[in-house]
Amino acid sequence: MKIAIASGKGGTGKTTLATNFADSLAHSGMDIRLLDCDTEEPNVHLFFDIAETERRAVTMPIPKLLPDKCTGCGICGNVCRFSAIVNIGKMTIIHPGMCHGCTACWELCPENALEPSEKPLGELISGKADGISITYGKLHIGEMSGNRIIQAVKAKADANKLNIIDAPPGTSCPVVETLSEMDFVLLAAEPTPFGLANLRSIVELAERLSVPMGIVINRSTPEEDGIVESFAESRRISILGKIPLDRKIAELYSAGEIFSRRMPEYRAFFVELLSKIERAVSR
Amino acid sequence: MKQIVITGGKGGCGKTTVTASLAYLADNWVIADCDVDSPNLGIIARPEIHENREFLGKEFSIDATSCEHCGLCIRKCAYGAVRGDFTIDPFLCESCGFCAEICPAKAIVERETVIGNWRIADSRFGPFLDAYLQPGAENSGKLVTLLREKAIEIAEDTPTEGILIDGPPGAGCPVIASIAGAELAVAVAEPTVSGIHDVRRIIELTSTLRTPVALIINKADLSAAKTAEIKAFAESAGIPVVGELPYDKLANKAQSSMKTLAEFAPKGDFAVEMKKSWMTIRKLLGIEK
Repeated sequence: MKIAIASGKGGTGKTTLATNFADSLAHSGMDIRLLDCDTEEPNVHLFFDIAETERRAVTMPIPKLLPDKCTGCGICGNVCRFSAIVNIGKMTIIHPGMCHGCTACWELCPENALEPSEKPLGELISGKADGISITYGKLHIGEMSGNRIIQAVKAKADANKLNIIDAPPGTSCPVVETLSEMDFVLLAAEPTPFGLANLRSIVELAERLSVPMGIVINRSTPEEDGIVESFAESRRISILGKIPLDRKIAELYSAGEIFSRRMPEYRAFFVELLSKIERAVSR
Repeated sequence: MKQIVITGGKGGCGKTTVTASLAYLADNWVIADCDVDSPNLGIIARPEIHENREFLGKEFSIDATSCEHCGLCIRKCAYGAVRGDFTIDPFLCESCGFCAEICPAKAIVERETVIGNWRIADSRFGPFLDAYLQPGAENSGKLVTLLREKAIEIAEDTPTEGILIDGPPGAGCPVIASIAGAELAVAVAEPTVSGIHDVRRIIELTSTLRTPVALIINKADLSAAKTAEIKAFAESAGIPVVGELPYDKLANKAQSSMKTLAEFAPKGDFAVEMKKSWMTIRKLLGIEK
């Protein structure tokens, strides 16, 4: 099973949920894959002492000009929708940073004056920690999109095991890339007006992608939770659990610790969370 | 006219909290919420909208009547966006148009479709702009750039010192679009292991973009050790720290009553430190001597 952890808003506790969920289940004896798809700001690995087993470059194909063959016909600049190729007079200029790797330019060049070459986009890192198989991706600074790295991270999922996937914040293309083909998405929601506004967006996205979902309220307080609860009820989404607003949890997080290791009473909470998700998926 | 972007890499580090408080303290600056996935500043600014415009994107579809099922589009699409039944998955499609270009039956049609909107408004802080990109839509960077262009147009017609930009989380295309060309990036750093990791990446990005950067530490008292680590790192990198904001339990209450934290508790430690930070930022920009 593949369970993604997402939220429209950043900082609502996705990584806290993902790491504690994975760690508690591993502690109960399960074989867990933990995949961090936030390639712009990956954080999961900061909470584990990982024995690395793999580190490799992730690349994307971009056009390379063979100037001797180029006649300056301008077809490549015309077909490129991303302004990654500009033809000025007989000159062809490539802007690698703008390229989306669509292949149109070299496929359509009548002179075969463009050929694909691999541009490094980022890295994929895998390893083991505390019985969990962890993979994360890291987008090189200055690169626009980590989608290809997300695909590589997701390819590490094992259909026969439980896979927990930490999604990037927001609702745009990297989140769509992460959430496609998930069995369930767990939404980390914060009971604030900002939290509610962004919860609406991610719920809308999960609905359009037809992924079943449930909510965990993070930094929950009895006075504030109503804002999320009434929304969840109106959209018929189950609230599967609550993690209270607790300075001790914030301090452990700050130090890079998995809070349920220091507060083991939460381990049962995460084990129970999985059975709730399994029931929801089988329904 | 100066452009300041509030950034930080990590989601939830306090970008909007800081932007809203600065907007409240600043005198008639133009405010642009460039987090087009999660535009939250409007919840606090409560803008009076006087212009609401559509943001258009391209959508490709296959005309079933002229499609000859040759399968060329399926084989050639780099994104695997053409399904076996000759329909296009809008989420996978990156609108490159290659399929439409090569289709022998000319069966692939392109049309414009609304993928978001952007708004111009007045607010109690000053002129206000924000935008919303529909979940899953492409081109967030383009929408950010468009919003910044509109903000500049407004700033040129307004007696104002500059534009205050609330940036999106992450380090990818919308973040780059929000930072490039600004006079100053103020990165909000959270004293946590994740916060430090993320803000370091943003500082790498601002240096790639050659944008001057300053740090503001949010929830500084959450961890004295991590706050010291941020300050040591800032000093060694020659980056000014313009403020150390305290962890304030009232933050959520202020948000629930749709006020900035500096406005909700004007005598509180947060407001006092925020005022000092704003003065330091103004000096960094050369507005204040």
